[in-house]
Amino acid sequence: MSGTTETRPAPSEKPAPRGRVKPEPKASPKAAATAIEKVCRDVVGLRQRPLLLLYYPYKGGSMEEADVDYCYRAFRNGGAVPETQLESCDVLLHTIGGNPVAGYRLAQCIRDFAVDVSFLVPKYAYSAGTLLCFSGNEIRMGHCAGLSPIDITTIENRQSGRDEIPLASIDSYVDFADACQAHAQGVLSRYDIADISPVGSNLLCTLVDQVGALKVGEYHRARTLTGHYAGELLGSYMLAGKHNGSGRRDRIIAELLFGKPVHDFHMDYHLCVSAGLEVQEMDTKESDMTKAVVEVLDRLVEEGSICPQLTDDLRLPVFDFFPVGTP
Amino acid sequence: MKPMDTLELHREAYERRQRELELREPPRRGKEHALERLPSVDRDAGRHQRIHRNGHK
Repeated sequence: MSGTTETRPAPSEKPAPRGRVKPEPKASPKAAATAIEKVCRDVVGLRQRPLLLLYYPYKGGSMEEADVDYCYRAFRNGGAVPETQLESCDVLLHTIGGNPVAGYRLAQCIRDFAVDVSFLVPKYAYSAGTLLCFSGNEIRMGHCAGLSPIDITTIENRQSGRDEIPLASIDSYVDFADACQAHAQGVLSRYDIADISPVGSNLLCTLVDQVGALKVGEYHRARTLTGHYAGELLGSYMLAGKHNGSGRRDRIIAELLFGKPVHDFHMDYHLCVSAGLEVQEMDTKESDMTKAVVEVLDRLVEEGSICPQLTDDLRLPVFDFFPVGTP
Repeated sequence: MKPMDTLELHREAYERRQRELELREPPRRGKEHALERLPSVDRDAGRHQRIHRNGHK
């Protein structure tokens, strides 16, 4: 099922000496393409639906707006056109996230080509990947697979290095300032002092001084934008025509944009169900087959056969479209 | 039969992205440009990345 024999070393080869890592032999472009085609065709054969592959490598794989063009070209290369929409399409998605605008634009690109879309998540589709999944009629999760909150994490390139700041940290700090104010007022009232403590405002001023007033505004604007995109995708696709669709949409956004304690929060199938998302758990065969696609691609990345560096910390993803029955 | 297989499509996407990256950062001329470019190529790539990603993950 894995279709990986072309590029793996023969079992008879001697193992590398301890402490030394033997580099994997690099697959030829043809062998690599054949290996990818084989595992993707297995999924198409099982599901009997066309498959769009959206794979981002773990290191340097970030969803970018430029990927929309790659996605569009993948559909067109496979013979699909927006005028004659596909009745159904699976999207195998593997990503740790990226730019939410890119997530939204990829979603609309996919929906231009297909009437009914199922997202297949073999391992994870975090952050902007979760936002993209909101455009599916359903999300099918592999065993132990997960989504994540869609809260904003801003990336600051400081002199000291790259720094990621989850917006939730600022929310927590504001809650902390509020709690400090309440505590200080409690102490003052015990001594019958009617003054208002400046502790809360002092703490908030410290935050704005440290981060910058415009930056705080920018964070909140970014989150409003993500909430808007999420609402649009859920309302137009996943929850369109569903009972209490708008109520569910608001609950999902509240849960995934504001309600989770940290950005790196793995939401498994059970948490996704309780959040109100349209999710299904794959059976073992489907889970194994979709994970095999990711594993083949992971190995090809490790060998250096795919996903070349675009910049210091950005790699090209792998997209392709596989129609039913035409290899 | 698809005109391009996965790797051919991948290679084409890479070439397009490379061209886009070059276009977005037009080469500047003169002394200032030379000074900025000299310390490291990586620094330049990092700046491009910041502009491109708009700081959101």
